[in-house]
Amino acid sequence: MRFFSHQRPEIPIVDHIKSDGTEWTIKEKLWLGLSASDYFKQFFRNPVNWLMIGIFAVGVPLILQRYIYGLAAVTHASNDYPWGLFLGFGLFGMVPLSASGFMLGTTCELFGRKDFHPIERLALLNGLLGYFFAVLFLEVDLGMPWRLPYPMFVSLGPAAVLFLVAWHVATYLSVQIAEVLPAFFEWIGWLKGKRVIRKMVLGLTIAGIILSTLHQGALGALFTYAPSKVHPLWLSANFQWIHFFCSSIFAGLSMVIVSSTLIRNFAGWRCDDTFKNSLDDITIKLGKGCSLAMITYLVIKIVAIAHDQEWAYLLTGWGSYYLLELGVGVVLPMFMFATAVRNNSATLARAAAWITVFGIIWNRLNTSMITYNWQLYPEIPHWKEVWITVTIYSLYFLTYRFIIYRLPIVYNWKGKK
Amino acid sequence: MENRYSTTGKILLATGSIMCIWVGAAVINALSYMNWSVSELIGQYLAATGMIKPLHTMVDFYTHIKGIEYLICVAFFVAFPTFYIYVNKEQKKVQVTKE
Repeated sequence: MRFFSHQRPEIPIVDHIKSDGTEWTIKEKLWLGLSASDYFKQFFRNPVNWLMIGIFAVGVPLILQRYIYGLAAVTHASNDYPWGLFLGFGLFGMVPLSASGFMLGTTCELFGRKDFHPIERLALLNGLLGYFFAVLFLEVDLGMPWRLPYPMFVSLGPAAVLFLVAWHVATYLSVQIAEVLPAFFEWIGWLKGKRVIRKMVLGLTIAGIILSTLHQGALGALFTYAPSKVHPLWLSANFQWIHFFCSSIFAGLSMVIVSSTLIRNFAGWRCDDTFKNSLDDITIKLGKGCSLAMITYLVIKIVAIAHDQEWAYLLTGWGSYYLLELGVGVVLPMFMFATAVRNNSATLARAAAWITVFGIIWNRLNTSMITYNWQLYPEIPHWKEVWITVTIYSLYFLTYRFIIYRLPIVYNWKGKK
Repeated sequence: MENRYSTTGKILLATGSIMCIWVGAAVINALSYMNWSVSELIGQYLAATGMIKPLHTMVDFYTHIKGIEYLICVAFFVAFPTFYIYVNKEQKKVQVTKE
């Protein structure tokens, strides 16, 4: 794309009007203003796309196999280990990384911090896609998408945490779609729709806070279903919800730092100067938020150990593993973020964000899979399960990239808006 | 005056060194008793100080855990503002002037 943007001044598209005075059609916008042959030329020149083709060539047949022959054909799922990678990584891992939507929505729309505005839409999109693909992972795990309305409308279970999670995720997903719609309406040029959404933005933001704080905690509360299975250090019946909620704060902020870094480095042609010039400053400010959330999380973790009187477990092998997770996943990035803020180093904040994202995924996998049934045999996921997980994550990546290339997420629309 | 401070400093240094050697020797000795198992030594220490002990009633249990939780909370009330100040204190910029 960098090549074409040097050749043709109207590419990348940032306006409804072409340089010759005519309007871009939706089809032309979808093709990024290129002819079909030019589009495919640039598509096949990118080695990442070849990697994606390789992943999908194996992954799609495996997903079909899962739907035709059932979970047993592609996973090691059993009554002992009902939650595999689809939920351990796809749902429990991706949802906290998607907390960016309500965090930045609140910061900009409620607290009036306009200095975060250049990254607000990216945070909202990150949240929307994270939730959407978490639901997709759930669907691959459940296997019968047409039964999705059952727990919500037909067979109600208002006393169950799953009922709460289902309703929260569904309503919050709707809220996030509405929050991202203004960018879509600008892109297609339907300004009336954008005005309607803008009138609701305050209500949507408040709804987002309520729904996401509740269900981030509810995902933690799900583990209270299996109190004797999860290792006591990773399960605190009283504090599990706040562990999950509090960790989602720095997880979401770190994920925005990671995605904005990748976009700036690998899709720099799509970013405008406002985004590029303000990114370092915003990264450091987000890092400050992360470090303060992390010290709070750390203390709540220690309080949970004290509350359940689990000091003796810390002296076992599992205890060392627990301390390693806390040390690498929380304490190290916490001090890295603090040092980055003090020294005004966006690079250090970015490194800390990568470690934090890794730490969150590690924590969720530990809770849902690795320390699950810690007194029984360990479960090693089937290679097909790993491949399907990678395939769906690749689809997430492609969707993310498709939207970033087109909608005004990391650039300002210059036409009517 | 300066000489007196340096003498005090020397006394403190010597006392500190002796204590460090004494503590180090005690820890190494304790570790050798525990067959060099650090976790076993910590476990014995926690049992000896009452952190790990059998609690027979609900009241005992809650008194114990709540006591520790309150101590952690008080520590956090000091640690959080300290960390906040640490994070927000920007390093002074070094002025560089061209010759």
